[in-house]
Amino acid sequence: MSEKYLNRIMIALLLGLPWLAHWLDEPYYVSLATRIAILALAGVGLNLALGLGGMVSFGHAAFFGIGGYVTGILASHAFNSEPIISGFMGTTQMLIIWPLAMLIAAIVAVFIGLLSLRTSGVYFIMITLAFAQMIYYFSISWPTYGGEDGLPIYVRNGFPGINTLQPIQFFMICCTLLLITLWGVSRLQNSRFGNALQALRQNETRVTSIGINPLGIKLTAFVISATITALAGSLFADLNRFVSPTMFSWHTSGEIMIFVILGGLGRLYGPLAGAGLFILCEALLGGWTEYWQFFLGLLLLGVVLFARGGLIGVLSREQKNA
Amino acid sequence: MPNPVIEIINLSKSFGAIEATQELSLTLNFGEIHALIGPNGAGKSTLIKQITGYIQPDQGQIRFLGQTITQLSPANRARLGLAQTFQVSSLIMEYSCIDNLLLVVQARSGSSFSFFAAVRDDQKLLAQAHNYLEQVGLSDRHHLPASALSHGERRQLEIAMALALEPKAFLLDEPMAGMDPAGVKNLIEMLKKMRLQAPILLIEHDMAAVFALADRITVLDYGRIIATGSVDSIRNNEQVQIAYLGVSS
Amino acid sequence: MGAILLLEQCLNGLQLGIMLFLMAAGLTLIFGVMGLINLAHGSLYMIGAFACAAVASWTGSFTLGLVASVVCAAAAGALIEIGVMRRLYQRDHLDQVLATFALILISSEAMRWLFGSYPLYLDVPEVFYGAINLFGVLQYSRYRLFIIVLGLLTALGIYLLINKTRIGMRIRAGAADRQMTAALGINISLIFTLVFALGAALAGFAGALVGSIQSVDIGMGEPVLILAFVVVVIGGIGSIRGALVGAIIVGMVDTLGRGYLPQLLQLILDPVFANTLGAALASIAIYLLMIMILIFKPKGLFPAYG
Repeated sequence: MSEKYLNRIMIALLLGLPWLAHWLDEPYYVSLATRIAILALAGVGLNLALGLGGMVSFGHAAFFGIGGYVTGILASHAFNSEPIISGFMGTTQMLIIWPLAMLIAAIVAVFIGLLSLRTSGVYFIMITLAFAQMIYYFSISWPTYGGEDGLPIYVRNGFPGINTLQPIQFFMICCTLLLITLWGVSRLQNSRFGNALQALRQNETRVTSIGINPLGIKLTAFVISATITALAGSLFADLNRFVSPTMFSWHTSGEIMIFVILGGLGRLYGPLAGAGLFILCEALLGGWTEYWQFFLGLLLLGVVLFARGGLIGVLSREQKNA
Repeated sequence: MPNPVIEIINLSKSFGAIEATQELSLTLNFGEIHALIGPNGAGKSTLIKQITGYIQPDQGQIRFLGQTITQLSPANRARLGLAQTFQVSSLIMEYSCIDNLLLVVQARSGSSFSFFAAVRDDQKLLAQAHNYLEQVGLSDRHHLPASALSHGERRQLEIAMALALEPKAFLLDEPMAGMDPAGVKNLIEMLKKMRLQAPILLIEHDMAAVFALADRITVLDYGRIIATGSVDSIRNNEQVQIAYLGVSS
Repeated sequence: MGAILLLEQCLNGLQLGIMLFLMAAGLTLIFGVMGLINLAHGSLYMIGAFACAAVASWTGSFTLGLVASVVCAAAAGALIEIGVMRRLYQRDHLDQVLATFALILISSEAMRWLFGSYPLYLDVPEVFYGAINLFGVLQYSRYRLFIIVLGLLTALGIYLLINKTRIGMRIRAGAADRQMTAALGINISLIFTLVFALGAALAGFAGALVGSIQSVDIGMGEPVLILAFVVVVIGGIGSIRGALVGAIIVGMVDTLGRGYLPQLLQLILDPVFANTLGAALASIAIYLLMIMILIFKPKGLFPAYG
């Protein structure tokens, strides 16, 4: 089965099943699908840096959490009518929250990227982890926005013309954003930038020797990747109506990596397959045994050792396009 | 006599106690093939890395077309027109031959910060890439990934990528290494044509090829130049014979 | 009074540092010799603690518990090395990170199934109850002092093992040039298993010792793991000396930071704000330290392999 065909099946399932659930009046499954879409989006972000760019960032939870906290903070200020900065009372409009979350994540990513991308290998992994840890511990110790207890979002933020409280409508927002992002990333993959980035992953010396500055390309990819993951974080906060420091934890970074690997590293729809598989494990296995993470661990280990191409690699048996 | 294309002035580099380059000065002039020879460990690779920018010298200057490039990054030096091939083929292994070349053509023809237009749809770039492949005789292998090429074909691909930069100078690091006699012959013809395009600084161990190609030869030993001159003068130079062969004629 | 408190805090920092050293020594050896990033090291720490708690409560002997912790952790390490790690040596870092992350999930859930979700009881042996008088001025916990002394002795032991024995020489050779060492007829896979088991034993030992003062629960290994990695990176990958220096620095910075930053800040800032900011900064101090060090010395303080 070709990869393109697999992708279409996944989209069909992603769009079709929640509507079926909605029609059958099972909002739980709609929320489940929403979670899949959001986590897939986070994975798409990471996949850009990791799968295409070869940057093993173990701190992407930082951006996920920034997206979440920007959302939570803006909403809470608006809710309590407390100004953040003179005059600005926060907002509960998604259309304003998303760009702000992505902008702040981008700024932080530029900073982290400039410092981290001078290193490589295990040092890069450690330094990205360190930045995420710093933000994690800081968010626990800083009491203003809940500290360890987290920050609730009492009412889901608003989108013009949509009743975001309705599970299926919120799902459509998340799903649409995911599809738009997938489209964007696919264009990026085939563009000059994507071409240089993927070449850089394979042979940095060669790319440098033909006049392309590796730092510029990598930093840009890192920042774009951060903004996508931050958007996912913002949606995640709205889904759960809650943000907490765990969004910053290294476990979260690891989980986002798991989505990407389970589905197939570097494959466009890999994160969707991976997130789907992960949530399926959680929902199905989780209902059966409370030790479901044991089996997830086995699955992950199996994929890393024996099925490097992930779910899509195994099903399509096709060499991915470079 | 126009200024040299590459000018190396009093270059020195030490790694701890090892003096890899000692007050080395040399030039690469327009239209010439300047061969750099010397026994293993003489410092040829270190010198090349300093010219291309991967190693910073402790002392000295490097000038390219009159501009001092000692502080420039490797990528910027390549943009100025310095093309190199590597001693061990350095290709984008998963990419096809044509994709490898497309990357070079892309790099030369504007910014890589374009995010939406598909680069493989750009017919102009593709045509140029095919052109360079043809020049090295790899057209019929264009779709194959670089990993599937034979050793000799990979060396050819390296040359094609250097050509595709339309450079102002070539730095070739043992291009004939591991090639069969037919391949070497072809490459010698290729280099003769390339010299007309841009001068070549050639590191080689294949002495027959060096004598057939070089306009000038410089001999390195222990980081120093022990002789430099025409093919004949080097062939008859006693110091060179001692350094290379350990005997005096 | 302030000086006595400072002395106590320094000793606490030293104690934390020594425990971190036991973790970091294993990690840095494993990374230096085998090129392997091992996230499962925290799990080995946990396994050691659990083994100690289980055996100590079963036999009533803390000493047996300690022995059990070392043996079980080493055995678990050897098993993991033979079963999983061997396949990872040639892989890239990403695969190693993911595979060992998977091992964390597997071992945590396995332990949870075996022992339940609640912490296990492990107490300091009676002989170490109470405090001892140091230098005539400070009453310091006997047990913590015991840990410091034991840890330092272990550090000396490791140093002697690596630098003064034949097997240590083989380990160092394997780290410097794996293929050459194998070509010389030395059984390199046995060396790797031994190194991994040694690292695991050290981690388990640390887990047992610390488990008595903190708690023995499933998640205990994870904060320590991250700290240990920070130590390895600061100290320089592959260097035991670096691990020791790095561990003591990290132990001190973390302990003294938590103890004194809030107070220091209170000198210049509003007390409530200073307290909050101080606590927050203290919790991130070692990460800031690591980043600073990486900026100026990208390979750590004592890089073993350049």
